Amino acid sequence: MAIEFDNALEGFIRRRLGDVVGIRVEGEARAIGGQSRENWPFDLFWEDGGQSHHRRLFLRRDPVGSVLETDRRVEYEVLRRLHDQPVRAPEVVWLDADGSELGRPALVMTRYDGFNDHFILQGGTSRLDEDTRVGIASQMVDLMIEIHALDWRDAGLDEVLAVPADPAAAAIDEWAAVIERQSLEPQPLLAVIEQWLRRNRPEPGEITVVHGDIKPGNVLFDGDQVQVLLDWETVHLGDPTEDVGWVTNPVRRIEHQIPGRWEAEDLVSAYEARTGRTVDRDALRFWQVLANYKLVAIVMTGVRNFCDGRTLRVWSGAGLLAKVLLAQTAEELG
Amino acid sequence: MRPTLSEQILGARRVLVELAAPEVSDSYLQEQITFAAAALEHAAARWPEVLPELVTDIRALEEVLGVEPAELEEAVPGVVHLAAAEEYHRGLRARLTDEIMSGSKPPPAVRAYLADSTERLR
Repeated sequence: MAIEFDNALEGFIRRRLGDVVGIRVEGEARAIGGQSRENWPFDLFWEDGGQSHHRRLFLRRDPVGSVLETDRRVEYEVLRRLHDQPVRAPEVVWLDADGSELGRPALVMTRYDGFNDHFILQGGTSRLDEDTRVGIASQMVDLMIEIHALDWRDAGLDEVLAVPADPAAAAIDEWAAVIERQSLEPQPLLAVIEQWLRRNRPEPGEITVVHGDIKPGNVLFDGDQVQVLLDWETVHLGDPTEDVGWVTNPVRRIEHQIPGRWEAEDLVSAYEARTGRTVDRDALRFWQVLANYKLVAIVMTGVRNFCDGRTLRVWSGAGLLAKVLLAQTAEELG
Repeated sequence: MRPTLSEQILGARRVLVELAAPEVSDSYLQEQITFAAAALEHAAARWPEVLPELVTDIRALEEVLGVEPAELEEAVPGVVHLAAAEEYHRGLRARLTDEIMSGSKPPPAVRAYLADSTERLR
């Protein structure tokens, strides 16, 4: 299996480099992290015209049972267009859109120095002091602001991403469809949540790029600096408050907040002060509920993949999310 | 009867944790073994509660839907056929889902049932 993949990867690279010699792939191994993609860091060596070359690369391939149904071609095209934009996105190098070469859809990007630490704000594996962690939390807000400030028309993102007339309605439709498709049994609780979302959705406003999954776990850090946001598979055009809701979702508090030093309201205030936008608190609550509705859809996809034998991991966690969703929707908005 | 199903499940978990895990150096495989061991531990602890909790949820659903309690017991009083109960339960949940989707704001009794049910069926 490993040899088959090695041969497939070498063939994939050879077809892209063309008439070169001495192609060598080193260090390839599946990296932990990322529930929806297989990650393979590797070093590529080759010779061309008497010159030796070396590139540090990273391959992300769809697993057999992904928990997110996203399109590698869209991610590749977005990242290609973002390369000369003022945003910390990785450089994409190659694409296997349909998996005909690497077994499953995959993209190859430049590999950057730095480390990944999902829970860096709580100490994580880096064990940075609290002031440094507050600084990193503040940089995460800057990262989000960079994304929302992108001129998506100028970058040509509307060539690959849909421009929603009503971002909240589009988001409900998208995730309700995932739940409908993936659920193995009737879900009365999620029916209640869907109806609540439809009754309480905010009016359409400004459209920006929305990352969809900003979190330290998707970032590479260099010391105490946020270096690059790696994972762009859920990027879309929509309401910027969606990202603010995602990072202030109470369920994800441990990833985004530092108790007593950097809590949800500090994050929102920093975002407002630096952007000049006012975050409507009802809209924020709507997007926090939507964040958990989306997480339930992802968990359900994982459950179906497990029950259908496509993945080895036993997914749980829907119970906790259900409790939170009921509490979050106990009252109507406005 | 010994070993009980829980004991057998925990025995399978020991094979993973005590025999397989120490031999594995690959971090991805280690992670998968950890997930599998946790799942077996959960299953061993929870499976005896599944049937009684299912019956409790069926009765709660019947009440919130206003339907007559069904006869769930077979030859031995107190013993319920799991597959039949699951199928009946699924039908009740589908009916409640349809009612919610076709109505406006759900009544407090529905939210109360859902809160209780979420607590019971972890």
